[in-house]
Amino acid sequence: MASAARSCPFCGSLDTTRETDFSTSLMVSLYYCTRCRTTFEAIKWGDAPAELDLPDILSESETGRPAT
Amino acid sequence: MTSTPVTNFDAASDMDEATSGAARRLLRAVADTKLLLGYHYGEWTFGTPELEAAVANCSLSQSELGHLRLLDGVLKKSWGDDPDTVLAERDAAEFANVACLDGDLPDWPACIAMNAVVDDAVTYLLHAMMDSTFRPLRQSVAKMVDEERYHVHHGRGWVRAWASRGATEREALASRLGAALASVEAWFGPAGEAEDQALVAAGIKAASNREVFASFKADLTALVAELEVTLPESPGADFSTWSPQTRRIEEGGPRPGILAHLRGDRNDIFKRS
Repeated sequence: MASAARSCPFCGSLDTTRETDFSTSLMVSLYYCTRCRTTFEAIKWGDAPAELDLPDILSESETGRPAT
Repeated sequence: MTSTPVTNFDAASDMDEATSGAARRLLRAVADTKLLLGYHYGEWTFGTPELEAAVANCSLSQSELGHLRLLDGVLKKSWGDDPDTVLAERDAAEFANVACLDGDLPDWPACIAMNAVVDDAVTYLLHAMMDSTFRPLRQSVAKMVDEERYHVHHGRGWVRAWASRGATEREALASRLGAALASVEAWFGPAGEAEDQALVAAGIKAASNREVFASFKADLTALVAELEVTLPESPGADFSTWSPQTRRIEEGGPRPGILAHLRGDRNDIFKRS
């Protein structure tokens, strides 16, 4: 699978690959983080973050944790 | 001006005993709450007013159980807590979930309240742990908060939708939201609680539980005010009998039937020994 610019939600690395287009539900893809060797799911929502009804505290578009 | 260097904890054993114990108990309480959230969302895969809500609840249940697994991993690696043993061998009275999840949810407004109050308030707490000095927790929390944004969106959406249906629905919703909020307030605990202060001092979380609860309550109050939903007056919790072990004011725990379901008691003969 081609590389995808999805950051790993566990370690923040961008060294991730999309393993499958579908995972536990149609709306998510399965990714693998090469850095921390963890699989994770990411919700498909085009390239732009979803516009959610959120309070300010949670409104940042993506967690984007720094690599640790 | 010099800043105090931040101490990061790669493992629970790097913390002092009191902080480690406090972190363990708080994460167990979050895990217990997520277990019960997963159960109730799963139960409400049927009986919802709209089919879309049933599908959503099924998905919400899966992600709560996924978060439980993440927390199980942190608790096992950090303190040796085996998740199967913890579920099978504790008495109901030892569970530290938000108390309003102990029994069945009586109606759909109660399910909305579970989503928009209990689930969302716990997310505020997780959010306060996103920059935790405890590395295993920090790495797990980011994933959970990312997913919880969709839970919050769903809960707020149903609060708006139900409130728009009429005065009877608004009244029922206000009652359920108020009851869930009182239960959550109890779970967050009293101001100045010693274990909570230790966790903030060590940077395990960024704010005290009372600050997190106040932030959540302010946002919920602002939401319902838009919708002409009036939360019941609350005198505030009396924490004189509050237990830091169970995060409860009164003794409780999941009802026997629910606990048996969670444990899979009727399938004992199929379990691996």
